[in-house]
Amino acid sequence: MKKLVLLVGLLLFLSACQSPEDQNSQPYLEKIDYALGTVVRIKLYDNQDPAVMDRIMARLHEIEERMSYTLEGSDIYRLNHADGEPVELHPDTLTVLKEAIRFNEISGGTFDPTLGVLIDAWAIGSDRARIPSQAEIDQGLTTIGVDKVHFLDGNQVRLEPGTEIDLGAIAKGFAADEVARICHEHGVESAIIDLGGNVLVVGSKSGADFVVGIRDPFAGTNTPLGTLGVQSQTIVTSGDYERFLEVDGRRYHHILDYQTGYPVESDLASVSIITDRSIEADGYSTSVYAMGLQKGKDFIESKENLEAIFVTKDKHVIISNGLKNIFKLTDTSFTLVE
Amino acid sequence: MRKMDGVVAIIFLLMAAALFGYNLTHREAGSLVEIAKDGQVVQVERLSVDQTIRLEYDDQTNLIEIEDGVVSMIDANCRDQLCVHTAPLKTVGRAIVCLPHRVSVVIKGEGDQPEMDAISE
Repeated sequence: MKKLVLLVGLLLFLSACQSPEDQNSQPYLEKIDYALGTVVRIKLYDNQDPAVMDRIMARLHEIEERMSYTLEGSDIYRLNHADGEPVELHPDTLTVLKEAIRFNEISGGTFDPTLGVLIDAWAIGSDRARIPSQAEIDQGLTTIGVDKVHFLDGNQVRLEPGTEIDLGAIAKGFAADEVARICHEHGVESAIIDLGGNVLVVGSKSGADFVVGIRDPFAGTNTPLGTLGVQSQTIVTSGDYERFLEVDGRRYHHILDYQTGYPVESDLASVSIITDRSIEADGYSTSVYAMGLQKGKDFIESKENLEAIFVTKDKHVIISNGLKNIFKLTDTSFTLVE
Repeated sequence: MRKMDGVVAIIFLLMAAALFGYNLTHREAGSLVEIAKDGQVVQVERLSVDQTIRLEYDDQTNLIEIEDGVVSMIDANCRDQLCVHTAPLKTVGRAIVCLPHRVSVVIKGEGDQPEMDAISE
């Protein structure tokens, strides 16, 4: 009889124990919010301090207020509307502008922060999106060139009249690195920073890898084609599916070619860059997407500590040498090329 | 009296076993669907309760459906329609986001745990 009572008690106890804490999942503090023109998801695993979360969000809004193309009063807005006069930039903006120009050199021109006029003319991703006239494109092409950006004394920068800067292809990378820095400064050693699909993982999940999916460029959001386990790394993907305009069945995506003023013609549907710093990943993802598979793969393999996953328009997945045994293809409608 | 004790104990035993078994197989019953606007949670629903939720802010409409433990954005009058084309959710941690309307839908709590912590896109 006593044994029976004990058994009943044990079973009732076990039943009561099916709480969330009982499962393998790690609890975390999460914030879903909006900044830098995208959705921001931050998960803090170890130090779940709401004050750290507030600090992170404040920093993201600050970066947006300095680097936004559209926001009147931002550094970039003032610079673009200075009509050739020098403008004092915040050190954050200056840092990112200099990084953007460095990427222009590294990429052989495919990454270009002076595409502002043309990006605005296409306005892809906004409700003003349209195909500009050839005259507008020709005019826009005359405003392009990093040699039109002049760094003066202190934090002063002067643009040649007509040229406009757009840091959209790199600002999120800088922002993710800043969030990681805030995490480290406030004792958060395990976190996920997701700025509109630019992912940076801080540390590990209690020693285990964070598992990050790579979006299937032919399917909707939330549909991965494969995964990889990472710790203290960032993964940034660029593709033709992110923002585009569809006219008469033709798709015009948001990554523009500095030579034609039209969207880049690439054999890639997407490319994901894996490295340490998110600003690098952001800059390289746009550059390498524009290079296409062959040039892009050679470029990646020539660099240390830089890995990539290329997805071609004919559904082949090509991974750089350092990702063998790390990347797992989960969608078998794709072909993994080793 | 002793015989009755035994009967009562067996009834409790069966109830406990049933509860234990139910909990093992129906963990998702505890999952919640958290709906937020502008980063603030505005509504929390059970994933186990089928319903359609209409969110209206000024002239911005989002229609969220919970059916058979799956959440989808079935309609929205936003310009990009990315939320409507997002794959339906059934896994904890995944989200549907309507960026133009700043509306997010995410599954929280117990249930199928995600095989991924984030998706790069």
